[in-house]
Formats: sequence, structure tokens, C-alpha cells
Amino acid sequence: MKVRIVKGLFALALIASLIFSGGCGGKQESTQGQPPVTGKDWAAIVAQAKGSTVYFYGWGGDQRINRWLDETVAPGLREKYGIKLVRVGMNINEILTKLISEKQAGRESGSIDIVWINGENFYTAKKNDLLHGPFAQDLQAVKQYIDGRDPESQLDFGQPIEGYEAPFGKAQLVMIYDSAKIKEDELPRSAQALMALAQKYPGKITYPAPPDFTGSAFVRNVICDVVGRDKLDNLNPRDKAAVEAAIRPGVEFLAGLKPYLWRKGETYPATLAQLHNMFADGEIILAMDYAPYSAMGKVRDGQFPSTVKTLVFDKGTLGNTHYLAVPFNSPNKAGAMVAINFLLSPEMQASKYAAENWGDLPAIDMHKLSAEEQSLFGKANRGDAAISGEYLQGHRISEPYAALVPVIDEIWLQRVVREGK
Amino acid sequence: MRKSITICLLLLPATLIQLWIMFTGIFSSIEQSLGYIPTAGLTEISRDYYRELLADPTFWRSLLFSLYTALFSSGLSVGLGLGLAGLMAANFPARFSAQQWFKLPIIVPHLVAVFLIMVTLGNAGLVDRLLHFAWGPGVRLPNLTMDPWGLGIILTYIWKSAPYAAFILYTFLRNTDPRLIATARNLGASPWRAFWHVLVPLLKPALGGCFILIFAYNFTAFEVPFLIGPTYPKALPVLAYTYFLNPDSEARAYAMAINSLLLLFSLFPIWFFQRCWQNESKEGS
Repeated sequence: MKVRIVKGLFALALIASLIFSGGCGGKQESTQGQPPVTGKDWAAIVAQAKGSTVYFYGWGGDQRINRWLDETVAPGLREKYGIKLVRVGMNINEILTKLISEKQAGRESGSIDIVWINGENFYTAKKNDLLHGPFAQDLQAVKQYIDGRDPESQLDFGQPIEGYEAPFGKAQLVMIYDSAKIKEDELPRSAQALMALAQKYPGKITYPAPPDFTGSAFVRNVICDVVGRDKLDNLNPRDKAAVEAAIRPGVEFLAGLKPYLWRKGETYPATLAQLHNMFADGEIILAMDYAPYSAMGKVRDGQFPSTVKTLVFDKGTLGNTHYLAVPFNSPNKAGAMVAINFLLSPEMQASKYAAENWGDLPAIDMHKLSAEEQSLFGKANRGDAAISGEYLQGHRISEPYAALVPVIDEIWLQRVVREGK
Repeated sequence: MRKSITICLLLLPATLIQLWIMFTGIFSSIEQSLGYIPTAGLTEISRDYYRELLADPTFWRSLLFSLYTALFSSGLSVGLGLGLAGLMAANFPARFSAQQWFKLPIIVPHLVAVFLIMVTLGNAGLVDRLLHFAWGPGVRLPNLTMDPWGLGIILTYIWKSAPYAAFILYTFLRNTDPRLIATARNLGASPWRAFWHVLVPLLKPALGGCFILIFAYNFTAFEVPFLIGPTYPKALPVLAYTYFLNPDSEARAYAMAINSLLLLFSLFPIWFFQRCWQNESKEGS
């Protein structure tokens, strides 16, 4: 008898779950009575945003960045525009999953106003219509400070931006080394020099395994250094054989490097944090980071020795821009636009550039600033580990098409890890 | 009878919510594994994702690797847990201090456990450095983390789940009639024989349940093999994660297909032990 009751309940629950899940698929509320923001005069948008709350969703894994947003940006925004900024730390994949489920459920009024995004995630978001826009061209700061001819104002990992996100900052891959351990003439300023260094110090070099963001960028960067960046243009990511043919010398180079790597290249650290720990421990002599000034911050914190420096390849390293976008169902689009505009102001960009705050490269064009505004950036001290912003800009190669990234990761796993001797 | 109905009714609201959450999740992942992801523009139901997955040798390597690490770690955990529970029940060493110690690995999250194992047993870890310090350079610990044999994964899981098993089994041991052991001992059985031939058979259902709980976790959890496992072969949950990260929306279908298969494989031990118990109760009657 008891068994039958339990079984009955079970069936009931099953039916209920099906009904509920079906029921949620329908539209909930259509719109929230929000005035439209596109094509509106800027002063009206600022007035509309006053007194509102803006929810900023983005990666929360770096305490310094979080502190900067909470303690510099949020008070500034409240003072200047009367907007309350609430930061929610969440990984971008989870944010997209959340937006996708909100879209699936037909939720027109969501919970996210600004999302910090770029690359393949922007590609996914745009492809699935998760973003509001175009809005970037309406921002005062974009009109005034952003260089429209910069390829990274038009393409994000090869994906046309079309006003669906506004540049927030720039990052660039740098190699991190200890100048007390590697001599000046041994520095890996090219793939060939990297090979020579690895042969001299076998087992002392490795990189995070793709799909780790930085490890994947490092693999692409070495491939670009060997075959030339232009070979990655105009490739169809669905045609794996063509991609493989185009990058073959680069992949063969990585397979040739494999026996000289840590653990003979049989295994790789899974995350950048693990790589940095190994570097700090002296287990390896070379590390890398997509945030060009993070090594500097780690020297200051005492995590890395003071002799640690950074370098880029002579032929350049991959750089990308990270952006801010507004979700399709943001309940406060006006507030989001004003907040993004504020983040692009020379004051905030200079404050972000300062190594003690974040050390992120500015997204705005220095040539478009007044002398007074430029001086804000001169004050930002970056320390010895840092390479100057101009030098980085001169040695910067753009990221290939986002959809190529997982294809190259897959080829790497197959040709280097599985088949490489 | 009336009492049991009341209990069922009282449990109903909470159960409904839990089942609802659980089944919508399962339903949605099965739906996506069949290629129905309308937000990504995929609406055609197809079994191709499963078919392609099952034809991929990487998938089979990952499946075997996950099965191997999960079976070994759960089996060894239950075995060790049984030993620990026996020691605790025998009041050895002092029971109180022992219990406090065993609680520690249960509270510590898996992520921290991975970190602890890395710090102690990893390359350039504590043990490695002590060896180096004591016997000079050249004496090194073999690779116990990120190794192709998954030793790091197994060690982490044992460190986490053996005390957990010990706690469950200890509760059962405490509730068995002590006179059974006393009688066996009185009839001339050694303590070991009494433990093995009297207590262990009594504990069989608990051992099976314990194994299922631990196996289901160790087989399907992602963070431990991701951080301390080898780059190749990847554990099945890590493979699903790699597919999930892929911006191509079709890749999500493969990720969900792997998740559905993980669920299916986790049900297998339940079915297995259920059968064992049924047979046993038939034999008993």
C-alpha cells in the first residue's frame, strides 16, 4: 500500500513537472513600459537614467578589478549621474546561459543591464539575439574618444560589432619571465627563440591547456608567429581540413616543442592560476598572461619576485578588446548607456589604466584627448615589469575569427597532445 | 496506515518542488541532447549527436577513464571507510578525537581538497621538497597529479569520500546489536573473523548505498578531474564542459548528450545493487 502511494506521488510529480516546464515556455509579461532609448537625445537619456539602479554582470575573479568597480566607479556614477551601480560577479558562460533561458522563457524584463563581454561569447550572444542595439554610436564618449578606424572598433574576434557593444579596455598577451634566471640574449622574442630556450631548459616551460583562455591564445600566437597572422584570415571554421592545412607548420612547431616542455608535454596545467603558481614556485621559468600589467601587480603583492619582467614577440602578440553590452531584456537601458558612457570617460579610463587599480589598457584613442586629459594617463605608474602602452600597440596582432578558436584548440589536442611524440 | 498517508501528504510540497526542479533540468538536457535548442535556431530532433559521440574514440577513452577513476576511488573509499568505521566502533584510538578528525575532509570542499593534494603531493609540493631536502637533488616524487593514470583524481576522491563512508558506516555499526559480536567472540571467533563474517554481511546494504552515493558523485563531478586530471584523456564531465564552452551551438547538443549518458551510467550501480539485494532477500526467505 505504502509503495503504491509513493508511486502515485511520483507519477503526480512527474506530470506536474511536465506541465510546469511547458507552462514556463509561454510569454510572461511583454514589456515593462520602458521608454525607448534608441535615437533619443543624450540629455533626455541622462535625465531618464537619474535615480535608477544599474546591474553590472561580469567576471568577478579579480579582487582588484572588483574593488575598482565598487570603490571608484560606483561612487563616481552616483555623484555625477545619481545612478546606483550594483556589480554582480558571474562567469560569462553562466551569464549567457541565464540570458538564453530568459529568452527561452520569454522574459522581456530581465535582471542584467550591463554585461562585460568579448570574443566568442559576443559571437554567441549576438547570434542568439541576446543583445540590445545598436546603441554604441549614441554614446557621447564613443563619438568623442573612440577611433572608428581602429579594426577593433569594428570587429571583435572577426565578428562585426555593428554597435552592439562599446569598447571598454584592451588586453594583450605578454610573456612573463624572471630576469634573474633568463639572460637577455635567451629571451623568447620569437617562436624560434622559444624553442631554443626550451631546449636549453628542458621541462621548465609549459602553457595552460586550451580551452583555457590564455593557453588557447598562446597556442594561436605561436601558430601566427610561425605561419604568419594573415594565413588565419578567410578560413571557414567548418572546414577543419582547410584550417589544419593553413596552420600546419605552426602545429608541427608546437609538436616539435612538446618533448622539451614540462612533463614532456604529456600534460598541461588546466588553468592560468595553476601556471602562475608553478611560475611563482620556480617550477617553470616562463609564464604568460593576457592582462599585460597583471605580472606587475603580482610583483607588488609579493607573489612574483621583483626581478620579474614581461616581453612580447618581435612579430607581435595577440591583442583583444573587451567590451560592454546591454542585454535585450535589460530593465534599465538608459541607465546602462549612461554608465557605459561614464566608464569610457578619460577620468575612468585613466583610473583603470593605473596599475594600482587594474592596469588595463585604455579603449579610447589618446590622439583624441586634450593635453589635460592625456596628462591623466601620464600619472599612472605601471612599474618595471611593464612594457609601455605604445610599444604594446606597435606589437599587436588582431585575434582571428572567433569561431576558429575551438577548431584550433581541437587540432592542438589531436596533433600535439595525442599524436605528438 | 493513516499515519503513513499523513507523512506522505506532509512531504508532498517539498517533494514536488524538488522533483520539479530536478526533472525540468533532466528534461531540458535530454531535449537539448536531441538537438532541440530553439534559441540557437536548432529545432530538428535527431539522434545524430548520440550516434556521432558513440563513434568518436575520444568519447570512449574519456568514458573508460571516468569509469576507471570513479570505480577505483569509490571502491577504495568504501573499503577504507569500513576499516575506519571499524576502528571507531572499536573505540580505537580515543573515539572522540577520532571523530573530530574524520569530520575535516567531509567539510572541506572538493576544490580545496584538490588544492591540498596539489600542495602536498604535486610536483614542487611539500613531500617533493622534503624528499629533495632529505636526500638531495634527483630524488623526486613520481607524478601523482595531472598524470595519465588519474592518480591525483583517485587520491583526492579517496581523501574526500573515505571519511564520508566511515561516517555512514559507523552509524550503522553503532546500531547493530553488540551481542552478535559478543556471541561470535564467545564461540571462539577472532576479532577479525567476527568483523568480517558477522558485521560485514549485516552492513551489506549500507556498503552498497555508500558506494552508489560516492560513485555517482565521483563519476559525474567536473572540478576535480578538470584541475588535477591529465590533459588527455579528459574525464567525461570535463569533455562535456569543453563542448559546452564551444561557441558553436551544435556543440551544446554534444555536451548535453554526454550529460544524459553520465546520468544513465550513474543509474547502473543502483540497478545492480537493487538486483543483488533482491536476490539475497529471495535466498533469505
